[in-house]
Amino acid sequence: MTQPLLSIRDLTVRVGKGAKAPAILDGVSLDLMPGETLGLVGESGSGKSTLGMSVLRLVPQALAAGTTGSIVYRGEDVLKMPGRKLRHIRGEEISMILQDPMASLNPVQSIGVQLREALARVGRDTPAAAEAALAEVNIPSPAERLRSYPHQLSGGMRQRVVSAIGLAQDPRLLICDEPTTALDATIQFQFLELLKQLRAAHDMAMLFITHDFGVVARICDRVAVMYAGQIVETGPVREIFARPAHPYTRALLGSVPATDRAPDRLPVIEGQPPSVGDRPEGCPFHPRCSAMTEACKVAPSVTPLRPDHTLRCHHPQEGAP
Amino acid sequence: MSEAILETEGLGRAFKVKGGALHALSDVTLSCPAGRSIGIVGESGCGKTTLNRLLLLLDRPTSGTVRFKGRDLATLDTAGLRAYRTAVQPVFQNPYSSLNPRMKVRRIIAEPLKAAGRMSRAEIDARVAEVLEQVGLSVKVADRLPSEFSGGQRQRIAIARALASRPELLLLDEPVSSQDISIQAQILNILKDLQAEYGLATLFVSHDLATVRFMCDEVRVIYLGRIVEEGPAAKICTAPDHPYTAALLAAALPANPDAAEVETPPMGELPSPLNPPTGCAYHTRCPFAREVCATTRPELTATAEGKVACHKITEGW
Repeated sequence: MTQPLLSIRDLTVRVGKGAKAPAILDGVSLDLMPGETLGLVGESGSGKSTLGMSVLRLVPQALAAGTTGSIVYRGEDVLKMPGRKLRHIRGEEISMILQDPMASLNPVQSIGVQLREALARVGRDTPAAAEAALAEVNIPSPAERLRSYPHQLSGGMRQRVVSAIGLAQDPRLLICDEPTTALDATIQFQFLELLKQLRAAHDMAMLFITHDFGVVARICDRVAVMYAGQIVETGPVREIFARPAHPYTRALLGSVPATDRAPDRLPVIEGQPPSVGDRPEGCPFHPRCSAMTEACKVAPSVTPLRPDHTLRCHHPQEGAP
Repeated sequence: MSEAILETEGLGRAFKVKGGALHALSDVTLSCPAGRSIGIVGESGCGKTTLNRLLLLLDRPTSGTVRFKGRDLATLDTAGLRAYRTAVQPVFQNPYSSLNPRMKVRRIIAEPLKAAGRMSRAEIDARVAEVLEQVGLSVKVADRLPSEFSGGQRQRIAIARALASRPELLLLDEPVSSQDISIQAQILNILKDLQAEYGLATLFVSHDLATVRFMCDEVRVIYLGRIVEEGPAAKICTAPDHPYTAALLAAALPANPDAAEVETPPMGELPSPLNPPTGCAYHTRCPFAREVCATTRPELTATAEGKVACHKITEGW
């Protein structure tokens, strides 16, 4: 059997030390196979970005001190890696695209300089390689564009440049944190198509963080749904959309408006997600859950529902939502 | 059909720029009758915000007129403008910037009432309590500051403020775009209920066709400052005529991994409004464009269910 590329076990990230400190991530485990795209979906504050950042050990020092568990990338625990090895992993093995390309790019350097900085790390710092990198992300007239500054490009173009930089060292894993959220719909569509092409060309795995189920349906193979710092359900995309078993997944999928129907009301999840310091005892979703019983005051453990579909819930729901 | 609360005719706003003009909005004609919800759909830079600013009197049109119950806004006297501002209330996208952080909720919601005059302090307090209930909050929160609330709750406060003066029309500018999914559904339901309960007219500005389908009766699609298609929401969001609307619909990704692959995927980027394409502004991105599209701008023409500005449709290619 193929080994997972990335294997996270019981990852907990606390704000401060000690078992009582509030946990941004609370016992997260997941596997990512080579070439696979896993969607991490959740609302703000669910911990999905912290999870993405943790994989590259980019969380703030204060959180790093409160981190326990393991993040094994190709047999080695990122959390225990020496600095030199970590610098190699960052960019050459694992790369990242963030939501706001203007914040990722340096505003006072041409994109050519920034792209060649990444290429130089793998000894490919030539004008031809830089042009080819821009051409690969479908940027027209790449030779001229290398001299452009970020502010001269549209949002969609900037995000393409960020991808070209991210892929310059040919990583095996690309972490995408809401890369299309700031883009217009028609531009998002084209960017997702580009990511699919790049994924195939570079034979990459992707960890795709988003709040948008439409994006998950379009680009992911598997999906992990996060709530209050935990993965509450994970499985193949088709399975999760057709037969979501966690009441939160079902309710969330049900509350998304669609172009092809106009109900009088949208089904809602009452209340709001708890903040990090204020999470309920037991299953963190129980105060908002329609299937809640006394049992939910004890935290459920992760249980397999089907071979590839796991759940953290005392009351798995069956059938179509 | 009932009388329109707000109508625009040939509304346009051009900004002077070096060597010419930037037409942010051109020739927009629309009507908001009582009890109807009109959706304005388009991407960044299409002129949605300019339209909203013109209707809020935060900016003046360079062409065309806005009429409030049949009277031209440009001719209204102070009393008339006061009536307009009482009757037309906005809700903005970001409740972190639209609520004054130093004012308590009570004062935020009371402000439009004080501005309109005529109410005693007791009446204002009663009204504040009433609108807070209507948006699903309790009067107990009235003495707190905005910083004590989540984004969803803040947006409820912003809606309560808009409702306070018993408006006839709500101008909703992307009111749920900055909210989480579970909160979006809550806010959309509140807005829809209020609309039905008070027979409010709404102008709902959004980039998202799915939200518009839920909220609106009719839709206007704007591209580079011009309406390119209008019609019933059910048609626009399922079987639009204009290739741009079709591209927007294709880009509204359904939460379904087995959704049919789109026939005409969106292409290209928005051209610069400083140097807009000749002819049909969309021709540079349109998969069906022919020569005429680059030379002649198509007029907004009536179809069976609405209107469309497209040579392909009107000439039946």
